[in-house]
Amino acid sequence: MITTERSPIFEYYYVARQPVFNNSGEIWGHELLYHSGSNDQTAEITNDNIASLCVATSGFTMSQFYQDTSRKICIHFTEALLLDGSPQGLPPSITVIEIPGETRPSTRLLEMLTGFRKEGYTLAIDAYVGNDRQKDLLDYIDVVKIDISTKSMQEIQDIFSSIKGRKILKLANKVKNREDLQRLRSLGCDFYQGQFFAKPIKLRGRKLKPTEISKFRILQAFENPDLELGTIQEIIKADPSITYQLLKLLNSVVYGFSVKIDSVNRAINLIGLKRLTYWLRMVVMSDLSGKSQTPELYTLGLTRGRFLEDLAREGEIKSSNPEKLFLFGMLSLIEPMLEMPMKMVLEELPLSDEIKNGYIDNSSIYSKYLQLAIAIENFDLQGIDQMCLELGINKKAVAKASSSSIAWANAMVQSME
Amino acid sequence: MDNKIIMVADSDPSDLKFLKTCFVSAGYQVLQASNGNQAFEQAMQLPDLIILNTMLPETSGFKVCQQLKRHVKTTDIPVIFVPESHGDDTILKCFEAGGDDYILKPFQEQALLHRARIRLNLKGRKNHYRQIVEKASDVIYCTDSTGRFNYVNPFTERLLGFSREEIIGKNFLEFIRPDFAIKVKKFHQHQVKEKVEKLYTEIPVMTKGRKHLWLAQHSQLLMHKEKVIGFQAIARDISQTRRLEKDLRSIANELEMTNRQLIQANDNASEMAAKAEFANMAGNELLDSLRVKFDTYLGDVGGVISRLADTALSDVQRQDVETIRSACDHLLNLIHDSMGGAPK
Repeated sequence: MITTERSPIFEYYYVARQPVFNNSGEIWGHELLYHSGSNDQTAEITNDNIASLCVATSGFTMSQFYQDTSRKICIHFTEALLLDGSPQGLPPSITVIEIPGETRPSTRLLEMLTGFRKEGYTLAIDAYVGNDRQKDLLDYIDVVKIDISTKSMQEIQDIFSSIKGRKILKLANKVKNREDLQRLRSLGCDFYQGQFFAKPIKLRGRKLKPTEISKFRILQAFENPDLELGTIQEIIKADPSITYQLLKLLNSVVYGFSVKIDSVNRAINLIGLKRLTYWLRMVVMSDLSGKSQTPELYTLGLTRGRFLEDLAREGEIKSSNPEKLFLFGMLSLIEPMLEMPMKMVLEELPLSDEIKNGYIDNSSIYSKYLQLAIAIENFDLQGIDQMCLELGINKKAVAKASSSSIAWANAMVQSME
Repeated sequence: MDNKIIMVADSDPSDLKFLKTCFVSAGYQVLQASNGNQAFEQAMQLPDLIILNTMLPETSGFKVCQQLKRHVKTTDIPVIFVPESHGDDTILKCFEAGGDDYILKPFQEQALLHRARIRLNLKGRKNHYRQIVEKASDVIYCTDSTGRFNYVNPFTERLLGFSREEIIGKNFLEFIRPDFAIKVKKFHQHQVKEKVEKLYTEIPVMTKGRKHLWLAQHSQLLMHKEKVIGFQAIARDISQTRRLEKDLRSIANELEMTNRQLIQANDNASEMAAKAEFANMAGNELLDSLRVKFDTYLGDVGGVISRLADTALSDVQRQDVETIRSACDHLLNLIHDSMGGAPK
């Protein structure tokens, strides 16, 4: 690759993760905490909304990678994000929506909370002290989270007795020692979190930023009240970074590890339009700035995807589905994009075996199509001839697919002027 | 005064004499010539400055200058023309022939010396810059608009193993690793077409010994009136850096791989520890409740025995009651010893 930029395309992001235990000592779930990535122990948060969104998007997908059972993932959402429905971008069965302790129980908020619960999310109130404002929320939540480091055992006991009789679980946060634990247990506490068990662990992941143009397209699409699936499909297909993030989101126990994805459409159908819309909005809002210039590798990925898709459409690859080949081609450059070995990348993606093999096994049919695309990029005439012969493809069709795919990819990434 | 050498060439003996005296008294060494061929011969001694009359016998001053400027050794010697006519055409011809400046007759001593000094200083500065380029440990080169080399610095020769003669006149694509040649070509065609003034690229090149090196190159378009007339480029060998980067990347990836396993192991470990903690607590709670129950039951038994002891009993019966009482006490002590807590 001839590089014109010295810096990598991907960016590192960080999230801290701390387990929450039940009364049998099993991990009930993990709380995800924003981490700016600096070496400071405390997370530096410049904007609470952005911090929440980073955790809910990148942090969530990364944490899922380590979930081998249906453990919960607890994420703190700001009042503004609760009001705009953001949490609905995440799968309800494992998501615990943490409501800030100081949230105002407005009618609108209570409506939203009712909606979340109906969908199956678990709701927790953070920093519960039992003030009147918080008491108004008790009918809408499943878990109260109490910071025990600032309270005496008597105060904790009072809080516990004040919610007695309700079906509310009690989570003690900042459990520091065995004595705390024993007393809390004797008071009937349900969940425990704190350094006595485990300190938060910082996780680092790599993410590909969406381009400015796709952010713009997404925001524009959301302005349309009759948002159509087709529009969203097109936007996702035009941005390898969003496709990659979506696949990572779907690599989850929630969607069943047995599910193998072989096209962007399949991915979209799996998550559903409504959830996808909320999720996409979070992804777009979590980055203040996207990639103003589309990285070359994105364009090249799109070109490859479209090229293979076109070849399939031409009827040259009779047994294959054009959509599959598009996804296969588009993601074929994920290795240099993330600067990570393909093997590691594939661990995180729920792709079909056919696609995965195409990247790993040089003798597979998919790999041969990819080799043809690469031969064309390199003007390797001998290679083109050989691959066409091996695959039984008409060179005219190749030439046609090649030129139309370049035109399409360029149209997809053109700047916003 | 410095020992700069000035060559003066004029067919008019009195003018020649004037020039010589003038420069000698200012402390310069002077070479002189009265015709074109002589001027050319003297120039081979590499003076620092040449004062050249345009109308020399045998070979004209213009021709002499043209030849000197074409010659590698003499190309950098500044030439000040002394035109025989003042017409615009003549002045233009001076510059077309490669002259650096001109002085009109009749000579004025101070003006003459001043101009000579300026040219000498400029030459010194030019040399200074030339030296920087020649001594640089980066690749520095220029090409024409089609990419043919017209200058390379000595470091380029050392790095690639080709001599200047082997490089000059060749297209830079001939030195690119073959599998990259077309890509690089397209890149620079794009640079020319879009008039991208500065471009950073990393490209693999082949040395004479068929080794490949990675160069990080900043190439700049040379423009003249909206037209691309060539490239100049500075490049640095980053093969080592790239190797190190690659190593670092793979180390980072291995670490990340290990880290993934560690995180999972850590989850398991903290869960096991927590389970043990809770099991232990549950065990203690069980023991506590057992102890309480034992205390109660044995206390009850103790009470019954005390009441029994207060009734009329035979000696044998009293002995049996005592045996039961001490067995009870023994049992209580045993329970408290093993389960903790003080006996009542």
